[in-house]
Amino acid sequence: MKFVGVTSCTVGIAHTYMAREKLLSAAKELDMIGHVETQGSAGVENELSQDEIKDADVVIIAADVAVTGEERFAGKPIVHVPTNTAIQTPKSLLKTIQKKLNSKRFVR
Amino acid sequence: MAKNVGVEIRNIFTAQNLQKHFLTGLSFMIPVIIMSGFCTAIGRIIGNTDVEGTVGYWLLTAGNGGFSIMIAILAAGIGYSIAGKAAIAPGIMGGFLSVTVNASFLGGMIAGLLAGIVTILLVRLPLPKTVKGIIPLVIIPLVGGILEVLVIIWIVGPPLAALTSAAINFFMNMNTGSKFLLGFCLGSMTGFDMGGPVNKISFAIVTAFASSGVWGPAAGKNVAAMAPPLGIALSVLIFAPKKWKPADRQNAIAAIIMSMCQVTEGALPFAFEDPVRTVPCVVLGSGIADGLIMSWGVTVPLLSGGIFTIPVASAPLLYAAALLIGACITGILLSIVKPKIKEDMKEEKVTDDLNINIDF
Repeated sequence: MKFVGVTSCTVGIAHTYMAREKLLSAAKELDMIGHVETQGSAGVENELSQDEIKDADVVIIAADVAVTGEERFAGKPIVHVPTNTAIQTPKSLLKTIQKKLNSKRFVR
Repeated sequence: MAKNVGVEIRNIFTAQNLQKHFLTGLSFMIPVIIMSGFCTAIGRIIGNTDVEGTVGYWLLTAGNGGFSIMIAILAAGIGYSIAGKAAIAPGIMGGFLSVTVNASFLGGMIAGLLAGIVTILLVRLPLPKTVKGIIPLVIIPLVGGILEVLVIIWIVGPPLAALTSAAINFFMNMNTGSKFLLGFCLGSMTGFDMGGPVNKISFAIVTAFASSGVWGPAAGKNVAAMAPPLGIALSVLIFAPKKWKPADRQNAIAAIIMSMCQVTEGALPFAFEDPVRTVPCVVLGSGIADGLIMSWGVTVPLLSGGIFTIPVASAPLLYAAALLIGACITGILLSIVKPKIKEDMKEEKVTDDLNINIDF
């Protein structure tokens, strides 16, 4: 499974970045390819490229607040979760998404 | 089409979305609070705030200016979260008016919701394409602005202003015991998730008091927010160093610095590793620190600022003492309940059955 993600939390200094790291390391362990953009108090970092978005099977928005640029993901399956889900259960999150995608036969 | 708008508006009010909108508003407002707080604090430290033209005077003026717009920024953020950029202008208008009519924080939240709803309704109006272009530019500011004026000044303003002043009076007339209890509740919420949503609810209540000129809860909240990382660091470095891993020691030094800057998140790495033991210790420490501040009647005219707020506290020594007491309670409790090091890193129980929804 390939995914792109956006993380963002209320203050934008801790959960935002922890969620990104957890998602990426879980992806590595599960043999998935993931790119995650952070929208913290320092603004957008690790901005997703158009190709990354185009290649992704699914978009994961792990955020406690509204994120910017969600229109980039128009037409993609999209999952909204609080940052805590990504931080505490990153692998379960990815596996659940994969299972749901498979049952829809959306995975290329 | 009308049905879609109905769904869209109903979606604003689901618990999860409502929380998201309010948290977005808070995340817009917090930097304003911090900016104004530092201006006020530095101004007061420099002194001469009564003499026009001095540095102290202008810094205090800047700080007060920031506090008078913070509710407007909150409302703008809530509106933005609901309906995007177009809702910012009516949100600012409503939030600012809310301060003017003393409906303050609660009014600002309603102003933000209203800005979002009005913007969604206007953007979705079935109009010819040529006219549509002027909607965000002319119609939303005009109609949104007028609606905000009407609703905030005449409809929600008066009852909310009455409610706010009733809450303030109630607080002012509380006896010491109940003040301790209120402080304990606010403090435990501040400590509970160390910067997460529960913390921000407490932040919102404290801001509501502060925007009406009551600064006791602010002092309590500052201490409750600084105590957790400091308390954990005390346990790691002083009380029970043998019970912690070398990596924890590095985190502990970072946690002390974060505590000084009032970044409760410094406690998070420890809390995530062992929430069952850490969270209760932190909640007790923060709660008691906040309760002490409230019952001692210490005030601080700042909503954030870490150790830089100590010089401007009404009683700097008591203020610092409450911080240390709270931190020590957290540290000592944690040192007692923490087990000896075992090399069993807690693994996530992996499942593929989380309760989440994918929007296709």
